[in-house]
Amino acid sequence: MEALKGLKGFKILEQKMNHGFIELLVDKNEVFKTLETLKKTQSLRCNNLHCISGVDYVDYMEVVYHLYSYKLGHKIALKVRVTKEDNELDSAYPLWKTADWQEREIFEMYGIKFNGHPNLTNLLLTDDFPGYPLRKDFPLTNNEEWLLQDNQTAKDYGLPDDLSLLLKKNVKNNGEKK
Amino acid sequence: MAATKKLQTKTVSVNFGPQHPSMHGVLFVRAELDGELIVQVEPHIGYLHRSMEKIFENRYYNQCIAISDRADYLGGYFNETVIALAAERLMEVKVPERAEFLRVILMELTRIANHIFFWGNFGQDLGSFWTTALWAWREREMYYDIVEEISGYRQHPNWIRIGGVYKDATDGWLQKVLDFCDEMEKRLKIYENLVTYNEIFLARTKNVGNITKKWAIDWGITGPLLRCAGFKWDLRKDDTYSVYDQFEFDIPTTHNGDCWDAYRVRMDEITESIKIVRQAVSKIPDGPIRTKLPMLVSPPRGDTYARIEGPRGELGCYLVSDGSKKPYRLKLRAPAFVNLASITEFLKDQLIGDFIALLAIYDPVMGEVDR
Repeated sequence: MEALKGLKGFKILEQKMNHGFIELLVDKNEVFKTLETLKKTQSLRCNNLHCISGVDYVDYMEVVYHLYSYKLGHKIALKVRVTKEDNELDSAYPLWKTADWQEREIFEMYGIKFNGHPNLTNLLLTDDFPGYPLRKDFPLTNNEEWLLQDNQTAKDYGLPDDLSLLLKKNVKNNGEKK
Repeated sequence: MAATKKLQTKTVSVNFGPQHPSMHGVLFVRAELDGELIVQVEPHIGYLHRSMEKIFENRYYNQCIAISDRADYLGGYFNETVIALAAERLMEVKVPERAEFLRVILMELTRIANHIFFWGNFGQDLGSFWTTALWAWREREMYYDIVEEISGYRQHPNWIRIGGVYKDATDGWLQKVLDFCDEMEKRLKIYENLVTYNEIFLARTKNVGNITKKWAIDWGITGPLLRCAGFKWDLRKDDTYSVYDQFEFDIPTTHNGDCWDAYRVRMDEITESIKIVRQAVSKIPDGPIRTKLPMLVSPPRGDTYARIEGPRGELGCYLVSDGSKKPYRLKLRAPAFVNLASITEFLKDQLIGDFIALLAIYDPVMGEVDR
């Protein structure tokens, strides 16, 4: 905690301890500068970026970088907030190559763009996948166009009639019993 | 005449996978070859993507544990434990000592089974045809018998609960675990005699590939691949969890970072795991196996990151809870996924003949890579 004081180049908006992690919140324009400082400052030396995860809080989205120092043994969780409209961040790829796939995954799941990433394309999903599935507003049921209209049955599409009930518009399968 | 003329060469692109007997699961790699040299590698993953993290967000915690078995299907106990650990950390629940010991026994048994499976498949990839693979499966069946007895299932146990475990072990079961360890120790000697210093095996693995410490840290590689580069790092010792601080064991490391070293580290880990299991069985206390908690738990609002040493490296779980009965966000930091990202650089400038050996030491489980 002491070592974090007096670091220049970025402003820590929020700082607290959370289950063994020093949790920092910084502005999204300063994320690269922060990561670089955390990695290269002698008193911190966070040489391991072990996990990058995204979270959608509806009002904003958060990217969490979990850092660790093999030498000194402290853990840092760096949080950055972006919105759905203003969703560009600097890539951590120049600092750690492990950011390659992890950032691509966040890009396809949340639609957060990472500037400076060499190959920002879909990784797990197909290239033409519509929408960003891990956002909270992604529809859990099938796409609207897959569902049957009121006057249609499954037979119209050459499917067995049993499926009509499943593909009706008003049936929602959210995994919840109502 | 023709010999004086410079030969025009061009690179050839070779598709490898997704369905291939030497490929560990459904991984598709497109390699660009210049003669026998690999100049570019382009891995494609996602064939086994089941959108697990989205499913987690719409299920209760105990259902999440059941689903997480399908991520790393060779080491279900690890996935379950890491989710339970994260939830317990948020809820500040203390797990009874006996449950912790049982978890450790099951996790270490799983690590043994996983590494034995690696041994079998590695041998098969390198051309021993079925001998090693079938032997490994035979031994793994012994493990599955033990696991089935306590959890009721073979590969997807769904046995760990938040705040403890599902079923208690009997003395007879513990005796079976010890018998398994004795048997395994005997068989390990046979394995070593058969494969480790086999001339063909040495020729195909020694000095093939070089993982360096710096490179591995840069790519976020953990587990046996990091240890074979000479970096002594194991979460069981260095960021201890559960009751691992009560056992005595070593962290095997090697220094060359080639395929043979990656193999060596895993074989030594089996020996260490057997040590841990024996100590755990002898030290296991009596008592309850579960803390009293409601059927559907709801951890308080907050977020946490838990991590354990899986068979492939650091298995992490980033859990965000909004105070409801379902996780708001549950990310599995899959070691196979993070490790496998580095093959683009690792396979470059290697010979195509070494391709299989270099890929096999990653020991990727595609269920975990794609989730």
